[in-house]
Amino acid sequence: MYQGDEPEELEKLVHADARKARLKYLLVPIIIYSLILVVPAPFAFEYGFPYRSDVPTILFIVGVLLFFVAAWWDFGAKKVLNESVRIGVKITNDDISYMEKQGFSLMMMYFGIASLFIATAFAVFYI
Amino acid sequence: MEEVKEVESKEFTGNSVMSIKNLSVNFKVAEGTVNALDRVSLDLAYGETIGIVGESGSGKSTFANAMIALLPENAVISGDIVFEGERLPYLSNVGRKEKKRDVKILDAKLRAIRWKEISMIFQGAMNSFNPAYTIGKQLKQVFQIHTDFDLDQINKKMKEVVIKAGLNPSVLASYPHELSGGMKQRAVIALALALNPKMVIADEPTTGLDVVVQAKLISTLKKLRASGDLKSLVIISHDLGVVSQLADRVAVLYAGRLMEIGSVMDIYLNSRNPYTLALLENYPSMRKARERVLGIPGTPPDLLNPPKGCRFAERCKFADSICTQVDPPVVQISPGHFSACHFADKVNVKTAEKKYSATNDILSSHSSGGLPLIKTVDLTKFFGLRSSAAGSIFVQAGKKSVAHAVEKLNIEIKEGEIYAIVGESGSGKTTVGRLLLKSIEPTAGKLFFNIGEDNVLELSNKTLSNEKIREFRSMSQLIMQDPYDSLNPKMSVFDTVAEPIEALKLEKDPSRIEAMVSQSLESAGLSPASNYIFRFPHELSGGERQRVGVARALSVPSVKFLLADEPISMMDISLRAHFLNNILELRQNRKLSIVYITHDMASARYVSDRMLIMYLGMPVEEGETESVITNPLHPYTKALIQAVPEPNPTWKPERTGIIGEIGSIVNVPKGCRFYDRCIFRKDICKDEAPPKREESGHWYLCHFSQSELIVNSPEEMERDVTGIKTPQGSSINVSGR
Ligand SMILES: Nc1ncnc2c1ncn2[C@@H]1O[C@H](COP(=O)(O)OP(=O)(O)OP(=O)(O)O)[C@@H](O)[C@H]1O
Ligand code: SF4
Ligand code: SF4
Ligand SMILES: [Mg+2]
Repeated sequence: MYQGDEPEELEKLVHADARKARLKYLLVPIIIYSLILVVPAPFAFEYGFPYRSDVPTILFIVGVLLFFVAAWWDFGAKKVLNESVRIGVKITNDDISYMEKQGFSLMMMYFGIASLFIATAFAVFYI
Repeated sequence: MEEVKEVESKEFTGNSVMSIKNLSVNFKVAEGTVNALDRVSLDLAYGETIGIVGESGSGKSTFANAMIALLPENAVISGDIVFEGERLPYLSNVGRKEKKRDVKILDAKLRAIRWKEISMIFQGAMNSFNPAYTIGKQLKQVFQIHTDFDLDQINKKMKEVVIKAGLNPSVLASYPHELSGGMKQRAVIALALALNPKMVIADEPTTGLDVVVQAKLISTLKKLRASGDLKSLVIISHDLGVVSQLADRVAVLYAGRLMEIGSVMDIYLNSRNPYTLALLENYPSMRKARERVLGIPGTPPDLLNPPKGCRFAERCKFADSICTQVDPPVVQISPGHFSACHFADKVNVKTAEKKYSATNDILSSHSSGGLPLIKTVDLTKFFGLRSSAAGSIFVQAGKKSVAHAVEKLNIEIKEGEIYAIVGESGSGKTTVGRLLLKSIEPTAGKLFFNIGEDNVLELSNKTLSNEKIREFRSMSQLIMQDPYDSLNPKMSVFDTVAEPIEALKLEKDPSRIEAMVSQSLESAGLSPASNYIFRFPHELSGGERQRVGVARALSVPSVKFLLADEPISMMDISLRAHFLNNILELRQNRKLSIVYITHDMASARYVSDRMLIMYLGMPVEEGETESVITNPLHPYTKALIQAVPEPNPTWKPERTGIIGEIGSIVNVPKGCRFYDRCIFRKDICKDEAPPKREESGHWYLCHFSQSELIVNSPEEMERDVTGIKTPQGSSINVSGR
């Protein structure tokens, strides 16, 4: 570490780190998803909250919002770029295309989750 | 200045590229007229380099801008500027109401002269590249506008000038932000050389660069002069050392007047003018060692109301009553050497030395038997791109993304000690400062601070209570960097100085706060404090602003530790002298410990008791200041010392003893950090980290003892001179890795 090189074993750790970080990004919408599904349930049973009509509406709206978020948000890529200028890490075209790839895959995952929201909305509504 | 004009125009008839006669420039401002230049005459011969020196505000830039007719609209000009036998067009028309069409024609004429015939390197030009375009594109534009070359010719020409300026052609593809300061300045020089002009005007071309980079740039400029690529050159600088290296003749300006002009030898070795001698006497040179430098007392006159008689009279040690009444005559000392002074026959190096020697006590070396105030153990700071979730996703696995800003720093700073940290920009000095002030947390290692009575805080401990942190903060302060930028223009002196007191909530009672502010203003040398307390920055001179910065750091009475990060880099000689003496006094009177961060060896030698040399985040040498300076052990220290300019034309900086420019802290060499730039390197240095060695009472970090440090081969030595054949990692490597 002190010699300034990042040894090869570190490479694996770095990959594991990236996986963990990706999970962090995905966790937020998944938690929202479960909250929307779970929190109203007791109210539906106890106080007759119109679960079947209202929860799908909420799910649908949040799902659409999520599509927009995924499409517009850069997932912090810009911040990383700024930071690299500050630290003095040179960014090559290769790095940029890697960032784009990573950004794209995160976006697709968000799209997936957003679709899950909407699919669930329909499922709850019709079933 | 009549006499100068006559004699000079005789001397240079027929072969002067530019001849300036009785040039005066007045700026019309709301308060009246600023007399920025007063009847200045000067001839520039073909192939000649003339240096223009003077303190800030002496009119140097105004002079340069006048030479290419680029003065702002509020300027009123009189006198003549003749370029290649033709008067610069606009001067003859001053005062007349011009028709739009005339103005247009004039403008077109002038544009043709600028660039093609005369090109200008503006003060601070390296920061004015358009960040959105590559260097190549910006250079191409010059050719496209001013020549009718086709694309192939342009590309060939571009490569040519870039190589001439000491750069690798690959910089053409890079954006300004990818280049270091030195490389940008070289790109500016390439721009200036692009159209092969007859005359180049360079306004402060090396100001703001590190000493090593500056020394290399000077040797490039010298080479360009020798090869004839630079024909006639006007070089403007407040740094007498830089000018002495390049100029054939030197003109000294003060408050808009020409004080002395002569060959470089005349001016530097045989000056006959009190102002020139004062400048030379106060130059922070390495050779002066620890002789006290007092600066030139007072400040330059207000050019809105220039004083009668000699403009230097108020500050001149030779002044007599005649000086404040009658304009000094221009006296010819020898052919080509003129001095504007009533006593030019009596003033010389010897009499000046006598005048100044009354004050020339040698600073005693401060032996600090004090307790350690600050101690670091393997203090390390890395900045990593991967430290955030976004970073670990977006940064490629194999990418080196950790900046080794500071590594394994072990220092001890004693009470009442001034400790200098020296290195080029990029060596990690500022990060050390931020660590010591606890404005960032270390990645590893320990930092201790003695808050008194042997109560030692471990600042690197993350569980330190807020109360303790506050206690530390009330004992440590930062002196802000540069007096022009650091003060908020909307805050009065009182508000600025009281800020730390209020931030630390040390006092609520306004009258007590006022007393504290007054006291710190006075201990920073601003007395009576009541004169300053309600002023705003624009109502203060540069020196006063600097003192306000110091007062701010002192306003908290419990302060024990001051950090000054590059405090004098923007100051001219008088300001620096004041500031450095102020620091010395403070240490004396208040027993403060001061960490002085700088790239300037001469000032570090002047103030500090011990010094640490850093390179790429690594401490490489440490010891008593005198011992390090007189007997540098590490190759980097040797080079740094060699690069400090001397105000003496006989000084030869061709060999800087160092290769290329500072590398990157992200991609550090595996073995010795200095490997890429060392002229003594051997194979072992590449992979093995060097050990600490002790010699002559202090340590350095290297595989070899002094007798083993031998330059490998002449070619190795050559590389340091050309600046082009730099090794991997430094100046070639700009367009990605
Ligand atoms: N456009 C302007 N309007 C009014 N005054 C001006 C203008 N430009 C310059 N001055 C004044 O003219 C004087 C000379 O300024 P100039 O910029 O030529 O100094 P300088 O010797 O280049 O200083 P420095 O070393 O700080 O660059 C200063 O007093 C300055 O305030
Ligand atoms: S004329 Fe008088 S005030 Fe001016 S430089 Fe000479 S001695 Fe000093
Ligand atoms: S260890 Fe080698 S490369 Fe490093 S300073 Fe010493 S000689 Fe130069
Ligand atoms: Mg200037």
